[in-house]
Amino acid sequence: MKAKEQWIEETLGSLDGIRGAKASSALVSNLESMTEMPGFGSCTLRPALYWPAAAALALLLAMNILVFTNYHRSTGQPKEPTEILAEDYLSYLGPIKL
Amino acid sequence: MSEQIVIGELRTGNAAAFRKLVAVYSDRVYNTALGLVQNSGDAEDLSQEVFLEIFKSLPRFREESSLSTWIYRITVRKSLEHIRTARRKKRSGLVFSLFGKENLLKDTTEQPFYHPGIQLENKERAAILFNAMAKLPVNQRSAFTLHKVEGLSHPEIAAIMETSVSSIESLIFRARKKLQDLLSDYYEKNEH
Repeated sequence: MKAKEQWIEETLGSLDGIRGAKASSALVSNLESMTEMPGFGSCTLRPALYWPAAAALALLLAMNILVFTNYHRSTGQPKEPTEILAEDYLSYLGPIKL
Repeated sequence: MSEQIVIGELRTGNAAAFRKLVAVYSDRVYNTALGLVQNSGDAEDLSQEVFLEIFKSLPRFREESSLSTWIYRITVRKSLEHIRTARRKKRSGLVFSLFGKENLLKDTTEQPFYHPGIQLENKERAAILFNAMAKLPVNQRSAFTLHKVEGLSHPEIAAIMETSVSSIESLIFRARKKLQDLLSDYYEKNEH
């Protein structure tokens, strides 16, 4: 019985002094090459900022449409169908002067 | 460079910062995966999956834990997913074999695993121990491997496994007890 217990304790202790395995140079090279993946380096946005970013884009788009429609009104050029649609859609905003 | 600066650089997609991350963590990720899955090819594949996950999940990293804890956590999770998938495949292979279909999946847990970092005089005993570790429940296996193979302290392991230090102490104690039983059976069959 003692021999068995000693063998078990020695086996449990066989990991003592273990050194960490090193990643191979091929693996490290593959990992570093991830920087060349498409999409790497593009702006990454936190999910919490998705809605504020979407709202900011929508506001920018709306302001651009307003500028565009006001420009054509002031030059006296005939309106494009999209301008008429934008005017009609944004008419609820009231008279916004830029 | 402070951790916050590194995380900030990584979030902007700074390639140099990512390469620095690889230089610092590739050995730790590989060694942890290797200790858990006990196969160098699988450990390499898992290491790539881990770094891909790091790259994709950085926007969601809330910095509630340290960067190293977070990376270890991803490594352990990916390794355990691999182990569970392998066990499921093994079980379905056994079912097929009952119906006369040859079980083409070799039981890799029975193949001796020689960790490259083991001292020469301990290689054979360590292979027997790793074989027994493969039979532990996954939480015991994780805690025991992180402690004995990766050399992490109980508080570090508790942070990685998102549990208390006392739970880790209990897991390692139970793992050791289970290993003693497994080694006892092995001794009776092979060494006696």
